[in-house]
Amino acid sequence: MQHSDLTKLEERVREVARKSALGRHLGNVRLEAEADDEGSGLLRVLVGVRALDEVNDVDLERLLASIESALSALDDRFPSVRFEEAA
Amino acid sequence: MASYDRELLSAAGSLLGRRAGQKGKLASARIRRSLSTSYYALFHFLLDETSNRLLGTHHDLRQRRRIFARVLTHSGMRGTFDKIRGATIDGTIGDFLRPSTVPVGPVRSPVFAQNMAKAFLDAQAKRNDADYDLNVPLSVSDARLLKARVEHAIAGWRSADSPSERDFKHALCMLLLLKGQLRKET
Repeated sequence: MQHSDLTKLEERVREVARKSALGRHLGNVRLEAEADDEGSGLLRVLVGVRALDEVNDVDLERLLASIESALSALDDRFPSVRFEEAA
Repeated sequence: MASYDRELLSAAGSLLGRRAGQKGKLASARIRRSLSTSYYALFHFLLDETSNRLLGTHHDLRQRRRIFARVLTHSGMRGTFDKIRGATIDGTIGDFLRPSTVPVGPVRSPVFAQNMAKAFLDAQAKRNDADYDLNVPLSVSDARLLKARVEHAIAGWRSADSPSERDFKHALCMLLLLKGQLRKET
């Protein structure tokens, strides 16, 4: 089981998000790890986006796929990406 | 008549709809119900797929299929899909899913199966938070994106219909029944 440091993973998410079409809308990024009963686990990835209601769903889908791909290369836990209105 | 998964996806979409002139934030309960309903659409699609492929599609077998579907579990599906979500299938089940044209080496997960696996794992994680953890924020965008992802995964699965893709689906459905676990050979 490959588990990377959450700070390192957060930085990777920021890097991916900054380079995306939504880079200028980017707010906070937070990661939470959650273990399940069977020892696999989950990474809950919360990405803050300014004016979330106004951004294009296609851009969000692309960003979600890029984050999943980037984190899966570094960590065995499944990354579930969510978007929230940035403070 | 629409299939149950389609009916559920339609309901998931309706929960996110607004009446003409309606403004302001959508109620949290509608967002969470929509996420949960999209997950259940995918779950029921997989129940139907597994029971149809393993028992047969004849109308007379409907009751048997419904009894059989009760054996499949949420955690068993998660365990199975976690093993096929990457480009290369987990070594513990690789040989079981190995196509006859690839006698040795790592076994690649077909793109339609990777997409289904990731959609399922994402939907289940969000459904758990939507239903059980009100501290986890979930947005209308999350709900819209998940519904679209589930629709895309189902469409991709349905359109994968070559002999090798059908063979993969059949073996994968058996693994879903076995909760992704095979007896280890010594």
